[in-house]
Amino acid sequence: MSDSGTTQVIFFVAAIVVAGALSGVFIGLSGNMASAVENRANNFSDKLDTSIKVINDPAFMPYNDSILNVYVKNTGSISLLPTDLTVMIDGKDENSSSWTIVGGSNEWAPSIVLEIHLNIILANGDHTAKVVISNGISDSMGFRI
Amino acid sequence: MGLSVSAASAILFSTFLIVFGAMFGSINMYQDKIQSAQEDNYSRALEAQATSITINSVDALNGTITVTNVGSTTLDPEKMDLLINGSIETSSISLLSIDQHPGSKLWLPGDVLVMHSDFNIIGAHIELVTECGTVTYS
Repeated sequence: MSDSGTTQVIFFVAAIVVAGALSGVFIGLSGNMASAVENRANNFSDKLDTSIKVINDPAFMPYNDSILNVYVKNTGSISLLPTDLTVMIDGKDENSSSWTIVGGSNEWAPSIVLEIHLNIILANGDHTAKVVISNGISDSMGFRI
Repeated sequence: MGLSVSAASAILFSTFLIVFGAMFGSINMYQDKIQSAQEDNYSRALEAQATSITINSVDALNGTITVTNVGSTTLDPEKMDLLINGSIETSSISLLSIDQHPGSKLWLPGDVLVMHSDFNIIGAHIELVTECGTVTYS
């Protein structure tokens, strides 16, 4: 093989290697971007499908023996996880809470009410309860004890 | 030299097609998904706006409550919740029947829903909540 032929083979291999490497990088990046777009679509879609409403009677809050029961109805179109909830009373995060799904259902499906039991000491007067889902959707209600 | 350029171009062009396909597919999926979710969201908001119920009467001795659908949407009586004196007592509902349409599961606009609660409702403050969260009190 002449010198010219060897050079051409070297150029050919180098071009294939460089083009292949660039292709790998571009395909990898596009895969990551497609995955990110899909995640964003899922998150945004879940957010749009999520809706909750605090349905307590503000004049008759069930508050006995320092236990306040807050009823939250799933008014959206997807099931929610009770563990994703944050409850705030008068703007303060209440960690000492437990919950039950009303009606004995296994999941907090649309139209189902979640009963949250908060262990809290409240003075007589006006208060605010705010319930926030991890995706930022929330509802709040003023009530009187 | 010419063959090298052609081969590299062919590889890069194929890559461009793959990348374009992947990006177009994901953006198309994003738009479809968001559009569908937005339509559902608007539909729920409209439904909530058009929903209204009124408690007509409470027969405390018999535990019977009659409620009229005064909105313009069809409701599902079984997705309603009952609060008595602030506590949820949906499980105490022993009868749900559409007046003049026994057995129907559709609570149409104008229809009167008759419900019976086993809970003692004498002098009680009653709250009813529809599936979309619309509330009425008596």
